[in-house]
Amino acid sequence: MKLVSLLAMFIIAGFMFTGIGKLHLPGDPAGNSNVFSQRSSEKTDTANISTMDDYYLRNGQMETGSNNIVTSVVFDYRGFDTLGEAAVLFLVVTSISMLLFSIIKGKDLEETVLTDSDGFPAGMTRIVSIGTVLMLPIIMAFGAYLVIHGHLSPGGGFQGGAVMATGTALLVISSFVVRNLQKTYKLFSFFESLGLTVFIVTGFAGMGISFLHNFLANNDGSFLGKVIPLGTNPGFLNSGGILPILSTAVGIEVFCGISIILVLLSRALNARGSQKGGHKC
Amino acid sequence: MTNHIPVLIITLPLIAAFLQPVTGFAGFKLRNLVIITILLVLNGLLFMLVPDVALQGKTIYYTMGASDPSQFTQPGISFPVRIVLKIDSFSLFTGIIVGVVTLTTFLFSTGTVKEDKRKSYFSTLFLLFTAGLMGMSFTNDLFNFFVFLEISSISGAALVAYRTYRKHAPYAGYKYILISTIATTFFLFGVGICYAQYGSFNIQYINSVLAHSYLDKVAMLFIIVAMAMKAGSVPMHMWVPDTYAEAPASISAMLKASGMVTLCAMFRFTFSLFGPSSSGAGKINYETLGWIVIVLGVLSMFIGVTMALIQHDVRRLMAFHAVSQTGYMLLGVGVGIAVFAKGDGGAAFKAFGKMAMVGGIFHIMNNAFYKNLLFLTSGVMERRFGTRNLNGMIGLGHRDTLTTVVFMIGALAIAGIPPFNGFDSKLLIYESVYKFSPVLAIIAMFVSVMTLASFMKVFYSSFMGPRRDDLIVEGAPLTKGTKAGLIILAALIILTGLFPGIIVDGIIEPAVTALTQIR
Repeated sequence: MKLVSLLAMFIIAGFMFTGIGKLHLPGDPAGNSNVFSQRSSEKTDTANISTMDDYYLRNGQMETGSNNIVTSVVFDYRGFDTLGEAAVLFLVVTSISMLLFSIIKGKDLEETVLTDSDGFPAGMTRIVSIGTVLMLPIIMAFGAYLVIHGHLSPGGGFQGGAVMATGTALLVISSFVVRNLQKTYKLFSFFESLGLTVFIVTGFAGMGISFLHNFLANNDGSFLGKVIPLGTNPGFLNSGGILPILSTAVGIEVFCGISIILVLLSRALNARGSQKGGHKC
Repeated sequence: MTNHIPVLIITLPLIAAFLQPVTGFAGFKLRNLVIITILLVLNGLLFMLVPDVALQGKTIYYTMGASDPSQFTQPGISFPVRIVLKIDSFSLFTGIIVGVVTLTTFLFSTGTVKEDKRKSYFSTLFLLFTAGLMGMSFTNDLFNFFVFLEISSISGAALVAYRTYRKHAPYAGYKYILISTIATTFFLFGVGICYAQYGSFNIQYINSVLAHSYLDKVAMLFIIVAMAMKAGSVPMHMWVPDTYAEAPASISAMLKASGMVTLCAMFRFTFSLFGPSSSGAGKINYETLGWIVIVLGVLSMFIGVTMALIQHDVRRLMAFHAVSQTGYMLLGVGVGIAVFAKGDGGAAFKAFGKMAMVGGIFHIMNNAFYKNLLFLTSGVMERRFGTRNLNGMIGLGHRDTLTTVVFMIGALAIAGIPPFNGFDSKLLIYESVYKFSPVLAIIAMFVSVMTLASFMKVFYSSFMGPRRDDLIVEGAPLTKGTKAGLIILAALIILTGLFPGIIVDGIIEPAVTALTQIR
C-alpha cells in the first residue's frame, strides 16, 4: 500500500513538473510588459487593458480612492472573498472553542493566580513581567496603525489584527493569566461578532446599487471621500471610501479571534497538564 | 430588491451566523425560530427564481460592488474584474437541493441535538455550512468557489466532531478535515494554473478564451479529482463511512448534501469551464472523459453496495450506500458526457445521451431527499437504542409508527420501487444506459437488488420482532420539529415519485440544457 501511494505521489509530481516549463515566468504579465510605462501618462484608457491585474493597476487608485492597490483589490474588487476569509477565521475560532471547552472544565475556568510577595505573578521572572507591560502599548499602537492606514501603506486588517494579537500572546506567555475565562471569552467573542457584523452591514449599506459597493469613495471630500490625485501623494487618511471601515472591522475580528485561540490554548494546556499530574505550562 | 436575490441567499445565513454568539442568550426557542425563519426565507427566495430562471431560461448575473450588478462585464472591458455570481437553471437546481435539505435537517435537529450551552456552536457552524454550500452553488468565480469550499469543509469537520464526549468523534472530524484539505489544495493548484495562463478567475471568461493546452488538462485533472474526492467516489471513498458514522444524524445528512453540491460542481466544471470554447480552439476528448466517469461510477456502485451488505453498524451501512448511489449519478452523467461530442452530429446525444444526463441529475435530487430521510431515521434509531449496532436493535415498529413508515418509504425509494422517486430516475438511467451499453445497465439493476436486500435486513432486524422496552435507553416521544422534518421529506419523495413529469420538465430538463449549452 505504501508503494502505491508513493507511486501516486510521483505521478502527480510528474504532472506538475511537466507543466512548470509552460507557465509564464514570475513578474511577466502575460505579454503586457508595458503596463508600468503607460501607467503615469494616461488615466483610464480601457481599450488596451487585456487582463484583470492590468485593470487593477490602471484604475484601482482612481476608482477606490486608495493609495494601496493591494488593499483596493482585497477589500473592494474581491471584497466578497475577504468576507469569506473572515468567515473562515470566525469558523476556526468557533470550532476551536467548541473542541477546547470540552477539555477545560470546572476549576480551570477560574484560574487562581500564584503571586509572589509583591503581587507579581509567579512563574516568569520579574524582568519578563515588567518588560511585557512596557512592550504592550507599543505593539498595540503599531497594530492599530497598520489597521487604520491599510488603504495608504502596506498593511490592513488581517496583518494589523495579527500584530495586535501578538500582544495577547506576550501576556499569555508572561503568565498574566486570565482570571475569569468565561468573562474574557464572552468579551472577545462579542467584539469578534461585532467586527464581522460591521463588515457585512457596510456591504448591505451599498445595496442601493450593489452589495459591497464603495459608495463613500470620491465623495467630494466628505467622510472618507477625498478625491486623491493620481500617482504619488502624501497619503490622505480621509480617503478610500468603505475600505478603512472594512479594514478596521477585519482588524478587530482578527485581533479578537486569535486572542480567543491563544487564551483557550494556554488554558487547555494547563488543564491537560493538571490531569496528568504536574507540569504546568 | 429582486435583482439582489443571489447575494441575499448567501449573506443571510452568514450574518445570522455572525450574530449567533451575541444572540445566544436570547433563549433556545427564539434562536431556533429565527434560524428556521431564515431557512424558510432562503427557500422562498429560491422558489421566487424558478419562473424566471428555470421556466424561461434566463441567466441572472450579480457583480459584487459594480455600479450595475446585473451586467456580466463593465462597459468597455471584455472581461469581468469583480466577483460575479451566476444563477442559471443548473445552479438553481443545486441551490434548491441545498435549501430543502438544510431546512428539513435543521427542523429535525431542533429535537435531537441537546439544548445546552454548546448548541450555539452547533447553530453557528450549521448556518456557515449552509452559506458555504449556497456560495458553492451560485458563484461563477473559481477563487470564490475555493473560499466557500473551505467554509463548508471546516464547518463540516467541526460538526462531525460535535459530540466531543464520544471517543471517536474528534478523530472522525480530523479525518474529514485532512481529506478536505487535500482536496481543496488540489483544487487550488488547478485554479492557480488557470489564473497563471488566463489572468482571470471567472469561469465563463476562462472558458471563452480556453486554449485547451497541456496545462489546461493538468488543471482539469486536479480540479476534477478534488471534486470527486469531496463527493466520495470510489478510489477516494475511505473517509465516507468513518465520518458519516460518527457525526450526529443531521450532520450526516448535511455532509451528503455537500457531496451532492461538489458533484454538481464537478459536472459544471466539466462543461462550463473545460467545455468547448467559443473561440473554437481544440477540444477535450469527451469520450475518454466520459468513460473515466463511467468507470468511477460503476466501481462506486459495486464496491459501495458490496461493502454495505456486510455492515452491522447502521450508519456505516448507510454511508456505503451513499457511495453506491453516487455511482448511479456518475454513471448517468458519464454516459451523457461520453456521447456528448460524438462525430455523428449529436444524434446519439439526442437519442439517449441527454436522457441519461437527465436521469443522473434527477437522481442527485432524489438521492438528496431519500438519503437525507434515511440518515435522519437512523438518528432516531440510534437515540432509542443508544447504539448503532443492528444486533442491539429490535422491535422499534411497536413504538415509533412514524419512524417506521418514513424509513420504509426511504428504503423503498433507494431501492427503486415504483411509487417512489428513486424509481423514476433509476428507470431513466437504466433505459438510456441500456442503449449505450447493456452490460452497464445490468450491473446497475443488480446493484439495485442488492440495495433492497441490505435495507430489508435493516428493516427486519430493527423495526420488526418482539417489543423490547428494556433495550430502549431514550423513550421520549419525538418533538414537533423532528416530526416535521421527517414528514416534509417523506411527502417530497412521494410527490416527486407520483408526478415526476412536473419536476423533470420544470427543473431537471432546463438544468441539463443549461449545463450542456455550448456557447
